[in-house]
Amino acid sequence: MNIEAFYSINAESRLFWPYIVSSFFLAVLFVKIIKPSKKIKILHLFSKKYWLNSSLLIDFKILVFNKFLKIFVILPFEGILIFKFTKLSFTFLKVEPLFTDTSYSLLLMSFIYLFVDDAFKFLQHYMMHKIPFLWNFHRVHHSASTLNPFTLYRLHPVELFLASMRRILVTLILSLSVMFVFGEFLTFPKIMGVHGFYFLFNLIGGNLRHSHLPVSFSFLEHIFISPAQHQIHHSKDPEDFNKNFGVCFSFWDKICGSFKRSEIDRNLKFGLSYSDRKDLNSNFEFLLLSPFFSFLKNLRFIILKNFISKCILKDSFTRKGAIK
Amino acid sequence: MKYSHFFLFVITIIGCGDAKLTDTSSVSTKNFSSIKYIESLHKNHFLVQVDHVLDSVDAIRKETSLCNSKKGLTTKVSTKLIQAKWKMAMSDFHLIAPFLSSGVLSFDTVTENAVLDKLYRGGFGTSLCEVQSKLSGGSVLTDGDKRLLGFNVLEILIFKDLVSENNCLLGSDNYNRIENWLLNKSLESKTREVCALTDAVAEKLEETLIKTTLNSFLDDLQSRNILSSAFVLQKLYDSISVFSKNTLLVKKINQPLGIDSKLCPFENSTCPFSVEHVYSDYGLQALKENFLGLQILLEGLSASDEDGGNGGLYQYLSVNNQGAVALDLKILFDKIFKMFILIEDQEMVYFDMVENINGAEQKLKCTESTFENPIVPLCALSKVTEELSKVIDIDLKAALAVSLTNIVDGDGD
Repeated sequence: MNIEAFYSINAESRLFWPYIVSSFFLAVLFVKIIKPSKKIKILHLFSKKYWLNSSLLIDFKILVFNKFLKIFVILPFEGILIFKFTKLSFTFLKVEPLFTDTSYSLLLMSFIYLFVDDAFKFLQHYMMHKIPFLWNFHRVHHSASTLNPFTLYRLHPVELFLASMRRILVTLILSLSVMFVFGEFLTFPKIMGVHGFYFLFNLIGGNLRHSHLPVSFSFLEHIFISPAQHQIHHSKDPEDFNKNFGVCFSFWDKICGSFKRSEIDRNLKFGLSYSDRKDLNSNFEFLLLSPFFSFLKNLRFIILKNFISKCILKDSFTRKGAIK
Repeated sequence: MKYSHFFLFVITIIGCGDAKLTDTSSVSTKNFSSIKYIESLHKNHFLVQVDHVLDSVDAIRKETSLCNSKKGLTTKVSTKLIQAKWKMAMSDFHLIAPFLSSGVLSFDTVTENAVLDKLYRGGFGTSLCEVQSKLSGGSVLTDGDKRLLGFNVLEILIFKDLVSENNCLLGSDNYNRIENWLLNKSLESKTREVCALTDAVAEKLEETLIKTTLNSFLDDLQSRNILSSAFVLQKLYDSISVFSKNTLLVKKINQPLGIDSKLCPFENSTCPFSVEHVYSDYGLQALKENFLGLQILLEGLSASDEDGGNGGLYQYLSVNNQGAVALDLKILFDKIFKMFILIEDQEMVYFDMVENINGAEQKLKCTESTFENPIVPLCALSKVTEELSKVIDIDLKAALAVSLTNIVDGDGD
């Protein structure tokens, strides 16, 4: 494991210390200068209630569990799979690059990467909400009743695996297209080894998305998802359900009709609705296993339903027919 | 706060982020910096070798400055000195040639072709075949043709008594034509011409290398690295790929062996590119030096941190979970140098080795030769080099594509 293994000093992680520090200063600026509401105070960020609660403990437990899974299973698997597919493509697809002048490709690749990656993130997130089977897993993330920077990592391992699949797909689509179009490796402007845009995204308050500070981007919310908009996404108010799925850009939500602008004065409560919460509890092991229980329960129900419709009801129809 | 709560808090803050497992084959687990890698190569290898070349060129030009007087190359001692120094200069140049294949160290401003263009017309792309056909057809030679011819004549003259008597170039029709064209003059003017030619070529080499090393390489590197460190690795890969395939495999190994040689088949031995492409022991040495140069480029230098060294491409691959490709490359280089030992142990001059391959029976033996069963070591070397070229072309490219794209984090939101 190399030095990048450490969250706080790895620029790829949102818990990289400059991101945390910048988020804190932005939070102070937001509260002191914009003064959105008297109810919002910077001291809330240091309150016992905010940091010492069962939701945060679950965040930590899931985070540690997932990191081991990621280090020992997901990342090596991801690396091998992408390498094998890339190698296969280079072996069998020998095409001359379409463009030989690649002087402009760096910027172009950077934007293409940003849009495609964000579009796939949106798509995955959308599906996690809309497909009941996937929602079983994603609701673990939404079960957080307090939002803090660690909530980002509160994911069911199955969702972690699906995110890995998404990364494999995006990497292959982009890197192979770039190689075949420009004859170059997919690359983009980086700051400390991170895509320049994501670095800035994290530096200018990426961590505030999972916080209780409703930082709004005003009219820019039509282009970029603001922390306040993401907080609406986590709201347990039924009016906010299935809104703002986007990560960086909000126009995907506009296209899919799930866009909602932020309202600063709202006092949002986070977590799941009663119907989603009823079979979840704050026990870590149960949280990880419950999606499977729900799935089995549904499966049992479907099998039973099919059995009833195919055998029992059919029989009764037949009998009825016979009676006739 | 519960102790377990506190413990979890501490380990999540400081530890187990989006870690990458490094391969056990990794030489070092330090972070890899492509800029340090190239800087270290530039400082500890490229500049050192360029200095050596320039020292030799200086010594040559001290001798050739006699051209300005009417003495010409009068003493045998000076000729011997020029020969020795030229050989030394070229030997050092072979070690840096892989770095220049795609301008990795000079970023397009001076590439190997640009260097060689000063000496040959159009770099290696143009062979003596074309000049020869022009000569035999009575066409007028361009300045470029003359430069190409001049450089070859120079090398022939310098190496005339260093290379094997069997040197095909010396016995060829081409050589006779060159001699007639340039040297059908009095002894005095002939030596003066050769002296002037040597001086001109040395001057060009000096000028080009100084330009290469004095360009704003590091500024260029720094500014581009801010945009993308991948740019450096892209350039590096291009250089390695072009050099392994075109220069080493095609021009220096397969072509002399008559394998897949479309430009100058062995049978047409009047068409080598230059003396180092002729199957002389000097040519064989040049080939080995080129492989060494390529290996240095891949491995990097194990310089200390103060010297800016942090290992090479192998370390980069290992850090990025692609150590298997690094290991494949290392194994292939080991095989290549083992083949050189076998070739050198053959007690046969390179020319004879190559000539021996051309009978039908020998060709069959050549086809059957492998590293495990090196019936004809030269052919086995060709096979291993082909394999190396393939690994560079596919595996290394795929490994770099994967590690450069490097989409990490973003699991959820």
